[in-house]
Amino acid sequence: MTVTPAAGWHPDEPALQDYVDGHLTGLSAGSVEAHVLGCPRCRAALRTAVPASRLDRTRDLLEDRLDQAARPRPERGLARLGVDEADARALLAAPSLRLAWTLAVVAAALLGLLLAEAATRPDAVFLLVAPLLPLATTAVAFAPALDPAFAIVAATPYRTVRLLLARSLAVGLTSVVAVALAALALPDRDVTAVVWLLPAAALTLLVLVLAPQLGTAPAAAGVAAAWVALNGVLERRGLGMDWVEGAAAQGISAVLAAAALAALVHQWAGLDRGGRA
Amino acid sequence: MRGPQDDAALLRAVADGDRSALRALYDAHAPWLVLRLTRRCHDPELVDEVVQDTFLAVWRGARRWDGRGEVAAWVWGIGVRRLLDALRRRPQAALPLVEGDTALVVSAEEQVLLGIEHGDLGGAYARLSPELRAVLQATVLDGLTSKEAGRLLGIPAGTVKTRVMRAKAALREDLA
Repeated sequence: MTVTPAAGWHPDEPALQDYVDGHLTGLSAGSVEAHVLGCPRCRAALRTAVPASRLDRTRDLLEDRLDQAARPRPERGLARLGVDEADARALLAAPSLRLAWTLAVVAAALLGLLLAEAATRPDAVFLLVAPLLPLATTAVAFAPALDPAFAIVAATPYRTVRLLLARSLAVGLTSVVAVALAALALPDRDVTAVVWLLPAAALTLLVLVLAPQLGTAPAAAGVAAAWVALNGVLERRGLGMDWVEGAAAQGISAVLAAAALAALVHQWAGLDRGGRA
Repeated sequence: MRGPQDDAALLRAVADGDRSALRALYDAHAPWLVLRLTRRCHDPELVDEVVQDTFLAVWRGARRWDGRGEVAAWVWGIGVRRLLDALRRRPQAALPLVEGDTALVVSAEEQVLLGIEHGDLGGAYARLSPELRAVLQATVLDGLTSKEAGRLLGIPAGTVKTRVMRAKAALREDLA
């Protein structure tokens, strides 16, 4: 059953006003409502009955929810993991981060292959190369030349420390996971798969501390070269790569990482006080 | 002024992801939707929320419009169900579907307005018991299913059906 008004019939002005005011009841109100569904003219006449400010406000909220729904999938995924919305956007807006992530995964895959193929001393190869991966990917993540979004991000009212920290964490964690997967290719899974973490942290943080003075690429290259050289010297003294597993090596790495982190936070806090890297 | 043709075209554009088409639909249909929902829910905040929900559903479900009938009727079908969902969370915001004694008084003016020339349908409707009027309002006028009307009125779907039948029989008898 539908209410089909006679052709040309429209509720008159006072009737519509009564409807708006809630004075129309029962079938009368029902008739107006049924008529309005099919009548653009009466719909238009009702438009002024709702304050424009209210309609605008509702539309703005609706647009917000549409934007929310339209956010790219990775961003929504991060948001669901509890990552702050602004953080998620800052992370995913940076092309150099994607490059860094890709690099981390590719390099870790190559490392895995290398380990599987290395007939002699796969552990040594792993311990030499693994700490360099987070270092390399973080360096890529911080090369502003590669990142058109960097200038925009640096100009936004967004705490620099927070941004740098978020980016290092995001990239660092990715390469750690990637390397951990590569470690599965080690012939026997012992402490080797874990002990590289502290040296890796120390090396990466060292690069971040030195980057503002030396530039990202030279700092990364310098620290990496120093790491390789150190291991070369120790190798010649017959220590092999196993030294990394020792308590002394782990302790020194931890202290170094902590000191670098402290320097870094101090440095980055300075950025927010007005200076620029 | 937008006609049904425009609405259909707009809805097709919305189905293709056109945000400006959704904006145009909102401008044309939000006002009457606000008014109609306001008659069923006295909390303006909740009404605005339901309007958002409705147009969000229009945005997502525009593809599902079968192209037949009025776009406005389709929008109302979504809106009244969103309202139902909202009222389930906040039952105290619901307005009684049938007003008290005022409904009994149907002025001559209103009858002319309604274009009811044959028989006193308005009077017959007003003489129905509030329970019967409520089920007619929910099913015939608001377009809810028996199940949805039952949820709204807090009675089983079967009761809704029997009440609708009783209401129709009463109207028929009254108008005979």
